Amino acid sequence: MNRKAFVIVGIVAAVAVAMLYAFVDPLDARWLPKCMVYQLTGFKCPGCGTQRALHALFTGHPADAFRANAALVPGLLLCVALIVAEQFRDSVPGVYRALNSRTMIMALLVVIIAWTLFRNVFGW
Amino acid sequence: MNEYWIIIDGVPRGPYAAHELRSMNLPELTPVWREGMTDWVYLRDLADLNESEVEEVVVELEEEGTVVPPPLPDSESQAYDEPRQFTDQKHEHAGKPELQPCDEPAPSYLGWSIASIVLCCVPLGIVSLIYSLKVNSYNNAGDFARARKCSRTAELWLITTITLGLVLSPLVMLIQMASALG
Repeated sequence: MNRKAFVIVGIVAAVAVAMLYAFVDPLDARWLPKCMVYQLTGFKCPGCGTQRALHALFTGHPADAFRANAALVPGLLLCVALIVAEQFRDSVPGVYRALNSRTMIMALLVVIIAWTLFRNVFGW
Repeated sequence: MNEYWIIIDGVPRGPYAAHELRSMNLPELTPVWREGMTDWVYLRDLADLNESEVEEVVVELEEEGTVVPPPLPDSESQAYDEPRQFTDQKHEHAGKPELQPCDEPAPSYLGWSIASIVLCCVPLGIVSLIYSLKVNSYNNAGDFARARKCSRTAELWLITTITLGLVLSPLVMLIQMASALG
């Protein structure tokens, strides 16, 4: 698959997912998948609550999104920034380097692990 | 007898003999160069002192008749602290086709790692995040061959994570629907 097709498929998939979670409340819909890690272990993974958070986000309740999964919105924004920075790496190398710096990756690792521990201990 | 130059804290030092280097207890990521080598390598990759495939690459290049660069300590001294400059330096004498796959920084897939951690419900994405870190260190040191290796590993973990997410989610949906009906 060439790059252009890849980008188009990605955008179509993102829009489809956005539509799905805008119209379906995962708390009502029994068929939407529950987190496997949570089902199997009883521990929440860093992504637990993503579907509820997306639903809240697309129905205009950002506070509920934060309550469902505090890491989702910042995480997604960061992902978008990273993927855009990678596309423009040649013309704007500084942004890419800052986002991919060692400090940044280390910080992310710590934040993700801390977030997972925190939500399991304090029940976020 | 070979003479070696090393870079400590951005300052080139040398020449040293092999036994001197061995007795100095240097960190394994110290850049080392001796005459006949095309570029600086990490101390731990230096076949003269350890065992590694890097030396084979060097020998190959010599047989191909690559122009051996002059002793680099002066020009490389600031470059080692500045990843970008180090990169550019590398580009200058990376014209050989066999160096092509390794002459540019490898992608770290950081964004994809984070996305897979948050979206896929399979905690394996964290492994690819750790490999992103390794890609980043090797890129900064100008060791693009190793960076690329780690980059591929990160990619592999990403693909595994995303595939698992894509395969398992419908499975979980089916099980949930079945249990809701029954």
